Order: sequence, then structure tokens, then C-alpha cells
Amino acid sequence: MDGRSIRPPQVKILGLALPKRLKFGKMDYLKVLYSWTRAFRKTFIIEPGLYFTGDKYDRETPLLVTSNYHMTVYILWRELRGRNARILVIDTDGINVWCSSGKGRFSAGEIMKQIKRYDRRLLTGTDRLEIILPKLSLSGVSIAELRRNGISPKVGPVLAKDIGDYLDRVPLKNMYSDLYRFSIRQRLFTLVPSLAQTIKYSIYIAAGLFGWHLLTGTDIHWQVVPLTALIVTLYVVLFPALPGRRFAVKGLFLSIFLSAGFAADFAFTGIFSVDAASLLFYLSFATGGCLFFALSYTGNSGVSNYSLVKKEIKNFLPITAALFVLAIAAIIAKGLSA
Amino acid sequence: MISFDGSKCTGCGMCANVCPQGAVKIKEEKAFMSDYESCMECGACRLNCEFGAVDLTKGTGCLVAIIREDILKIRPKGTGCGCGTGPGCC
Repeated sequence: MDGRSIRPPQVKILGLALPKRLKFGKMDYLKVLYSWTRAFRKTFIIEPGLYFTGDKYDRETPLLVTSNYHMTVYILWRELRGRNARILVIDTDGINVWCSSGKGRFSAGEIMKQIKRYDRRLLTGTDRLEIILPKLSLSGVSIAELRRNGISPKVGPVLAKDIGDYLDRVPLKNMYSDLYRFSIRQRLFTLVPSLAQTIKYSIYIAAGLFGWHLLTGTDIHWQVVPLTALIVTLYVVLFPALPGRRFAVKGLFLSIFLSAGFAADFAFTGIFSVDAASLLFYLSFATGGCLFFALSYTGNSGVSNYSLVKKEIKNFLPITAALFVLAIAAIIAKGLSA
Repeated sequence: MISFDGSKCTGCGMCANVCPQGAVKIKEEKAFMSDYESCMECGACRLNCEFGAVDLTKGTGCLVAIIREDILKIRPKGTGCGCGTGPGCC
């Protein structure tokens, strides 16, 4: 169903489009996995339009609206398997529901644009067309504007996994009380793309450090990769347990815990046999890494406040940069002394 | 930042209904921000308020977007995040 590679011919009668059966195959599953590691970025798209699941198209079945991000449509389709339903995929430039609505791309205008492509009698037998909106689309969709256009919008659940239960309870209600929760399940979902994003950069850093090690024998290079993975995993998993409400403050506390570990090793155990320059490198790299990941996690999380994040970035990004400069100075000093 | 104009607010509750975080509440027929830390400034309340009672600076709470849009100013508002919104992005 990848809109980039497969574009099924648009069947039209008298200039109006017809609904298509929504089907996904094994390749789509692989595409979803790939999109997941790409941190929800634009990867594959679904051609906008009206689709249906189940045996046949039926205008009496629920009409759900979603974005044309491949992963979103796939997950919705999976939840609707074995059920007669309709899906109106709107053009959000291949971006997921929440991100596209936040930017105004998932809007009442885009919904109307797709609806107008189809014969009204194909969509509804009454004068009002009932559609089900994802709750997270409401930062881009004006309910009043839809009503003015003869649409009766129902606000559906936040998550696709709750769609089945929602559709089973007729008559359909507005899920106003359904709230977004940044649960462990949600956070673990963000762990894979977060690791994919950060490990890539840590490998680049490790490669640079390895070059310096070949020249000077510092013995510090690959260690930054598992250290980065540790920072990311601990931050994501422990997110609500870390002290503070702001991202950077949580990162700072995580770095204190990690630094305490390094300092304890230096002072008491010597398991890793770190000298003073190495200790300084690890402390500054770990603290800078914790802060940087904390700031970058704002984009992957679903709980970041624009104004507060902006303040955090202005306050903590220079500190993060200074810590990385200190780490570079420490490793240079260690190499030169060796 | 977000603020509610009490003189325009009718207490209809639409802003509280559409808030994905449950950060907006209604008390004595007026909307108020009950938990600013939970508010994402997504703009759902402002967009769906028919009385123009919500004032909000909407933005993307994301490191990449803020660096590109607010600090370096190399991208227009709403196009700087890494989700692929902007032309040529990702």
C-alpha cells in the first residue's frame, strides 16, 4: 500500500472516485518496522481516499478518518480486521495524526477535500455524514467547521488499540474523557527509535575516538556506544521516576546517578581502572549525553510543552555543548600524556 | 503561553473536551488551566473555542524544531521538526 511505489489506478465514474478495499501484505509489516526505527519520520505514504475493510463496501458502517502515514493506516487496519468499516485517509503529506494536526495539516479542510471527491449518496443515506475523528487530531481539526459543512463528527479514542471497543459500543459517543498517557508502553514504543537515532551518532563519535586511540593509545573508543545506549534506555524507562518535571532536569539527575557510579569506581573499586583524565572524559560525556538526550527526547515524547521546552533548550543546550567540549579536552589531554 | 479570557468564555467546556492531556478544566462556568506542565500548547482548545476565549502561542515542543524555527530561524514556524513536515525534511 505504499503510495510511493504502488499507485493503484483511480477508478472514477462521472468524475467521482470510488472506495477501494484496504489490503496490506508482509512487505507492509516490514515497512512498519522500518518506519518505527525511523522515529515516526516520513517514510512511506498511503494514497489519500476512501477505503473499506471487511466483505464489501457498506455506507452504514463507521467511517474513521486518519492520516496517510503508512504506519498509522496499517495499525488502524490491523485493529479493524474482521470488521466492516470505512477509512477516510486524508492527505497529511505522509505524517502521523498528532504531528500533522499540530501543524494544521490534518484539518477540517483536508477532510472536506477528500469527502468531496465521492458521491454523497455513496457516503451516507441521510443528510448528515457521521465521521469518527482520532482525538489527537483536534489540534488541527475544527469540530465547528465540520458541522457547518454538514458533517457530524464523533471524537474517537486516543489510541488505535481502543477502536474495536469503541465501535462495539453503539450508539457511538464522544471519547472526550480519553486522555493521552505517557505510559511505560508508550515510552517503550519510543525506545527503539530513540536508540536508533542516538546509537548512530555514538558510533560516529566512537570512530573518531578510535582514530585518536590509534595515534595515542587512549583505550577509549567503543565504550561510548554502550554508554549512550545505557543513557537512552535508563532515561526512557525511568522517565516518570526521575526527579523533576522538566526533561533536562530529569537528564541532570540521571547523569548524577551515572557519575556517582564512575566516581565510586574511581575512588573505591577500580574495576574499570580509570585514571583522572578518563574519569573526566566519562563524567563530562555522560552528563552532556544525558542532557542532550533529555532535550532531544522532547520530540519523541507526547508530553512536551512548547514554551517550557524552548526555555530548557536556551538554558541547557550551551551547558551541554560545554560538557562535550570538556570531554574532547579530556581525551586530548589523555592522549597527549600517554 | 496560554491564557483564557474570562469575559469571552461561556463555560461550554469544549476546550476541556478536546484537550488530550486533561489540562484544561471548567470551574464556575469558566475555563482555566489546571496543570500548565501537562499542557502541550497543541492548540486544540484555541482552535475549537467558538468564542475566541483562548489565547495561545502554538509551537512544537521539540529540540530540532525549536533550534530550526526559534533559535536559528532557518525554517518557518511549523516546518522545522523532524517528522517530515518541511520541504526536503528527512
